[in-house]
Amino acid sequence: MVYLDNNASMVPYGEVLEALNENIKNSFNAGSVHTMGRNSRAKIEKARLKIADMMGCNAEDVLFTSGATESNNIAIMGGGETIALVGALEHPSVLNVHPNTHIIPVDRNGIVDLEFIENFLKDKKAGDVLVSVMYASHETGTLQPIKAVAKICAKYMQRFHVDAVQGAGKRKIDFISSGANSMSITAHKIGGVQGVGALIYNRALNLNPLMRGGGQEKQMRPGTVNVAGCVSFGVACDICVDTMDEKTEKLDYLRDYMESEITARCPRVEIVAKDVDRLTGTSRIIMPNVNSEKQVMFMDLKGICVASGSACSSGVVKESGALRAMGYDKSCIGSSIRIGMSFATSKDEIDEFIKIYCDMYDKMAK
Amino acid sequence: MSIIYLDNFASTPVDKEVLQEINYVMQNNFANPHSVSHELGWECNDIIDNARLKVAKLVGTKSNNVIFTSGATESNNTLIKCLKYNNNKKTILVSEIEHPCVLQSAKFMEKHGFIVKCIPVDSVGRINMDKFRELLDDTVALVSIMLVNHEIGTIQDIKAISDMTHSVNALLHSDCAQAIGKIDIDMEAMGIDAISISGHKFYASKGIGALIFNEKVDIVSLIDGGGQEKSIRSGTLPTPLIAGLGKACELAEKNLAGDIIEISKLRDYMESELLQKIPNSKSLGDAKNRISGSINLYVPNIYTDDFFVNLQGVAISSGSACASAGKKASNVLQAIGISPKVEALSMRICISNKNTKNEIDTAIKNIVSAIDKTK
Repeated sequence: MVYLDNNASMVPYGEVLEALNENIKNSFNAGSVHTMGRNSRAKIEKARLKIADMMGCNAEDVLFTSGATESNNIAIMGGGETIALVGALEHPSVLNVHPNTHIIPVDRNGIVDLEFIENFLKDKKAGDVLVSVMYASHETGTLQPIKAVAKICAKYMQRFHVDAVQGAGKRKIDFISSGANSMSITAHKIGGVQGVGALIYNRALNLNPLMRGGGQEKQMRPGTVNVAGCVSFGVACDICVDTMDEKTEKLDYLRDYMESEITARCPRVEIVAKDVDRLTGTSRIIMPNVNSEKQVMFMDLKGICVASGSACSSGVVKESGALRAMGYDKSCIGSSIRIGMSFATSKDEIDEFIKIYCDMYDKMAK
Repeated sequence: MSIIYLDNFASTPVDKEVLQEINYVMQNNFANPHSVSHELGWECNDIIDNARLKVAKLVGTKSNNVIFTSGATESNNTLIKCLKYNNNKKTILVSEIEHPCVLQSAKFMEKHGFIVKCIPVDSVGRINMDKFRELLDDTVALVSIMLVNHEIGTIQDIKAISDMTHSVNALLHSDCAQAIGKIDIDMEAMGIDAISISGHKFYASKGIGALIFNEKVDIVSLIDGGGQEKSIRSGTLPTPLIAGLGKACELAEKNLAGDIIEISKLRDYMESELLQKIPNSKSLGDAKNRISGSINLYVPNIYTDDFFVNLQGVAISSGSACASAGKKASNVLQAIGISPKVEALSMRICISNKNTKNEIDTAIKNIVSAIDKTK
């Protein structure tokens, strides 16, 4: 089996599994005053530091949650703004949250229209709009001009949230200098486990909590803290920071190699957002007029895991909404697949993928 | 020196078999369970469905009534805040000994035009049925009463509560975080419309729980996004933690009856020893209707902080973990008529199926010696 769906959920690091095992065995209620509770609390604080280190923020800016969906919900609804302005390629947990959501159009590479943002904010009262633009697209890997968006938001005094799920651990993020007011991250997209994530924000922002209960996480996120989840998240962050450069180099190489092989051998194929700065290891490949569902099924039968759209709940293979937003025509929308590599991806696996992809092309597109 | 863990109201150790299950799934089924384009995603989805069945079976309901959440706090918040209330039913009744997440979620609804009333309990923590009857009228939409209390372990007569609740066409929700895996829960037979559970209170891991409800309950989402869990709870489901929760349910199904007998023996022994060895101490709560591991021992004229400084090698607490971090006076003890005093100690002890007779003996010795030192 060749697993190339790491943007949906990444292969966990071995060290993460060890940390999870060890801490599930020995973790108690971090709210308890006895030694065992205090030890659990200390472990959580240590993990918080590691996450802060990866995100370039202060430890007290890290709020643990159950994952990025929850983080995005808190960030979007927590400020009480009457309008949300979000990028067209955002994840559903950003797109489908605020009752009054407006969309920032994107160009053919998936990059948000800065002029549109400026024009939209121009006549709005300060504090009325929450702007949300993702760090990197989960669908195409496109990196967004975060600093530029932050500047515009600052100019019009509007809050700016960044869904950094796909950028964290892969690119050096410096939250404090980014200009963003908050960022969402989740462990299972960076080699950690499912069920834990964080919202990074300066507490001076005074967001409202989504839930109420015991006073955990400084009253912002009640519920017994998932100690093992947090600790293993910290371990994943550590590894990401330590191995970022070599991983990026390897995955950039594998992706470029794969894309050049495939475009050379399959002339009608198009790589989305090929010429802009993209997330390492991510590639969306269009085989015009060949249904995505047919493509992923072909791949699955040959033991290759890829995706078409983003992994949600529909139970059916959905077309990627991203290509429509990027202005592609009918022959391309619904005819692409997404490749997401990880640290665990090998050259042999990529060769295997190339071989099968070319077979598929010969059978379906020629 | 290893510490004897008797704070199982706060969190239980994870069972070996549950841990094995989590580790196995973690290593072999790391894919996104909502990935529909490959076998690894489908496998994860199958694991989740299988766990859902086990959860449903343990609480006497159908598997499509189970919505996975991050834990009971989220479940309680979702049920209370996201229920589709009817315009002429805007009263919520909660017992005064609920967990803070129920009390505060209800309080939050006051801001939205709801009337929230607290149902008093008697001196052992059981619902005062006369007062409950007085509070019930046609404006009541929801009654939320925990099946088992988190400080004194009192079990409610839930069937009687449910009959009364339904007589005014209200829904009954029960926070079952402390009940699951400790007593039999049969939602249908008990007449409970919705329950909240948490994995880490019955030998599964933290970070996973469920909100389980029948057809009568119509709710919207607290957390939006990809539309997972019938759009009631978006977010990638944590397959390994859910597999662990399913395993814990399977184990509870198998072991519950035996656990109750064994744990009760240890509890009765420990309680009678402590009562005998600590002068003026008394046991709080309902001696008859409480979960098998629960002891809440009240000792007058002992400073709580000093006692805990003197206590060696035993993990117990003086109140619920969430409240104790903030050192708030216990709403539960106040409700049963114990007024908060700095110079009085209440020890909350909960024995699990992992504790041994030897551990209990050592714990008794250490607790008694800490009391002697503190005097």
